[in-house]
Amino acid sequence: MSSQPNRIWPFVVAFSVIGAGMGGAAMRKQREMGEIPTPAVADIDSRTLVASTEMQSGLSESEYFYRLLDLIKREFVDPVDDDQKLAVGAVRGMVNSLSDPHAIFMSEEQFPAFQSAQNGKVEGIGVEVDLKFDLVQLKKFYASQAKLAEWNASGRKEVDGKLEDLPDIQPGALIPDIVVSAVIPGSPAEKAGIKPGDLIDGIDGKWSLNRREVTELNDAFEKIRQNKMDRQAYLDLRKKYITRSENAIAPGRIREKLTVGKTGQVKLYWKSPGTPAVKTASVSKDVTKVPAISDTKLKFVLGVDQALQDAVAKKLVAFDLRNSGFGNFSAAEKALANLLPAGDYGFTTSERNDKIIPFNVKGTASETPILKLTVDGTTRGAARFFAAVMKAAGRATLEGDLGPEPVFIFQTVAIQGGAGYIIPTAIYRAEEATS
Amino acid sequence: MKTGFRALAWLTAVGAAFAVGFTWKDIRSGSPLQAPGFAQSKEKAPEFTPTQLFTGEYRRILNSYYRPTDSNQLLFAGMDGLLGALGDPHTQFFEPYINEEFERSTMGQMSFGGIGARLAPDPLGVKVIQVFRGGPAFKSSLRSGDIIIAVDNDVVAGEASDEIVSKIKGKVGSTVKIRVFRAGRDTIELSMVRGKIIPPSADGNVIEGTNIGYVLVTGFEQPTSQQFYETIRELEAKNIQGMVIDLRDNGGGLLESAVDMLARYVEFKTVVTMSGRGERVETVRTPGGMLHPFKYPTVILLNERSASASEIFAGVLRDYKLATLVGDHTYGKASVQNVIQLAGKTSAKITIAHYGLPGGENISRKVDEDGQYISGGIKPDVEVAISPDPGVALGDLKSDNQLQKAVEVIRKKNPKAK
Repeated sequence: MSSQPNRIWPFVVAFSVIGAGMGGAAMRKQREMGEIPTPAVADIDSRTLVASTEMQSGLSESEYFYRLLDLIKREFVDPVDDDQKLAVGAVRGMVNSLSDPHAIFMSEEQFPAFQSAQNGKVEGIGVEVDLKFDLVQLKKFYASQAKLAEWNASGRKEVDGKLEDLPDIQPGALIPDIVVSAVIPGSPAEKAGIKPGDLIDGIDGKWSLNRREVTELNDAFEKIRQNKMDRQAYLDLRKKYITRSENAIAPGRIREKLTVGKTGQVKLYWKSPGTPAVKTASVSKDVTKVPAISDTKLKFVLGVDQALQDAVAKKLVAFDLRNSGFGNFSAAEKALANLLPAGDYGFTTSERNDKIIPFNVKGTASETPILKLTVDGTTRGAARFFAAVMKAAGRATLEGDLGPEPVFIFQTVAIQGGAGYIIPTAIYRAEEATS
Repeated sequence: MKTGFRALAWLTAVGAAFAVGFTWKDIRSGSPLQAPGFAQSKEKAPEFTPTQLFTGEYRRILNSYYRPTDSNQLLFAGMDGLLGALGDPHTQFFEPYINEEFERSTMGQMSFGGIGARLAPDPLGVKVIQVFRGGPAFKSSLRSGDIIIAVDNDVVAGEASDEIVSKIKGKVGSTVKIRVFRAGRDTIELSMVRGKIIPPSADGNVIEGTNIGYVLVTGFEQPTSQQFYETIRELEAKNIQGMVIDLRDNGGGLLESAVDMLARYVEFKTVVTMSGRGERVETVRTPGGMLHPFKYPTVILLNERSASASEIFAGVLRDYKLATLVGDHTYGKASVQNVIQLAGKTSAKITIAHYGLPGGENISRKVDEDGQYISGGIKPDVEVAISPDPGVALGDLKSDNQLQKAVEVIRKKNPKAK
């Protein structure tokens, strides 16, 4: 009778000790990973979220991330103590991998300046810049990314005894033009004569390699090989190219230098479209205040909804939305709610799921005059969205043309620690017909 | 009494096991232990753990971005960014297909159906720079210096060299006809059967018009040290009076291969001293019994794309005064990486140690905030930049001015060298 418990006891003790050890490790992991949240739904377009995705590895994305972080902390040559920084790096990697000129990751230096601009206080020299890619090459690049995804899932195939290749992309073809998309009225940039549409060539003795220059050099190389070019001309071209590549600066860094900082100055090299001459000026940094309404100029900064309502009450209906800047989407939404009766106006669509969702405005207005909005290709971001919805609602006439670019709806995301990013979440259309 | 004592011992054991389990990560990585009860200090309690932060944004992008996103690709981009945030350019994430390719290249298995020759652009077509031993071109007596002017009866003059090369390559077992222009001769027609070509990572020839050997080492792979040794013996059989080892554009590879090659020059000598995490220091030495007598001067050619194992090989021979270095400064990669396989056929290449050369020089590359080179790498004994002439073909004595310099250095050191 008494011998039985004696036989069981050692096992009970052993199991409970092992179990406690495993429990301790599991609790540590649980604490470090944390409860995995589902993110807030994008404010403007609501849609259902898919659940956690199982990877081809059989691990969830959080498990994968946790394990790699753990591996780094164990193996990397230098001690790793800032896990947060690495997680932010992962977000930066994801946003940049979209290779979309409208999806922009901003560091903890850039993001506060971006938010301040949305609130009507613009840092830097007072410009916004867009990165413009060659669309044909960008399409090829997306195709090669899709191919890579295929190779990752099922291996690189052999065709006729050769390994399958990626679409041929010209070297340097994916270097974007850095285009001034907005110049803030009253800013140092405006005083220096910089205009929307100008191309930035370089800054402070550093150059952004231009894809046309890369193509030019490649063409020259072909020509000289076939003895169809002057030797000295080739050598001069090559020297210029080498000097520029030895003093290169990434387009994203130029954007940062132009839009972050309240003091100091930059030396800027830029061109106006159609003229080959490079202009140079030292432009100082400052904080330029942007009022929501000045004369007829309407800017979608914090408080624009109230300013617009006051103006409309005073029977001011003509506004200039050109050179608008990116602006503040939630302010534009509030302005729409102030000016429109509740209802559906137009649609949002997404290439992700081809769903067409009526765009609903929780409006409060009953009687609104019809606005007269002057627009063009420099009417961007929140202003572009506002103009398109007002027109779809029949409450605005547009003077001018918004141009070929779609009307994107953006989400602005602040990440813990100060950085952030913007991504386009949908395209707004006035009509259901898809093109 | 006895039962009470046992119960207490058991409880203590359970508690201790829990604590060990909780702190196992720290014990393994050698970091300060965390207490299970109150892990983080309260002053800075972030809302999200790093895993939560990452996962939240991962799902947001997957579910909100307006274009379709491949969930695996997005995860890989995240992992790439995670390793990128360490600020070490040599710590990298490999997605499955790169991982596969990386393995293939370090095993020396990059292969294709071809004729087995290294080619360079030429106004008349492509110039043969090197013929791989035992390959189809070798068997049908194609020589370095020959210019291929037609492929399968198509005249290729003026075409881009990539295009010509892709015409020459093709299915293994198929035949390709090549018309060759050989100096001092009429054109020659050669017909060869394409074979599976494994380009050797070390191969050589006697430089035309000299008695100096030229050994091109393109990588440090598993078969490299064997190929290197065979090449040396073959060249010495032709009575060479000097040797140029070309490590230009050689981005490195396996440390063991470099160590085996160095064992031909020095035995039981320090190659590198590696300092890893914490106090770990390890000295890598050459093994004994592999020594080879070199009775002539050696010059090593370098440029900014010579990195890693190339820098170790060149730096060690320089430090033991066994070779003269000619060319441009090297890349400056003073660290050692380990490739760790991860779930889902991915892998991570992680820097696990820094190394120092026997002479103690720190060659680690320094760049400015825009990624531009400031300093680092091995400075050659004789600095000479490559000519900007578009007609330069590396390894061709007529146009390659760095090679010309190397030959000049050898001739100065050895009067028997011509």
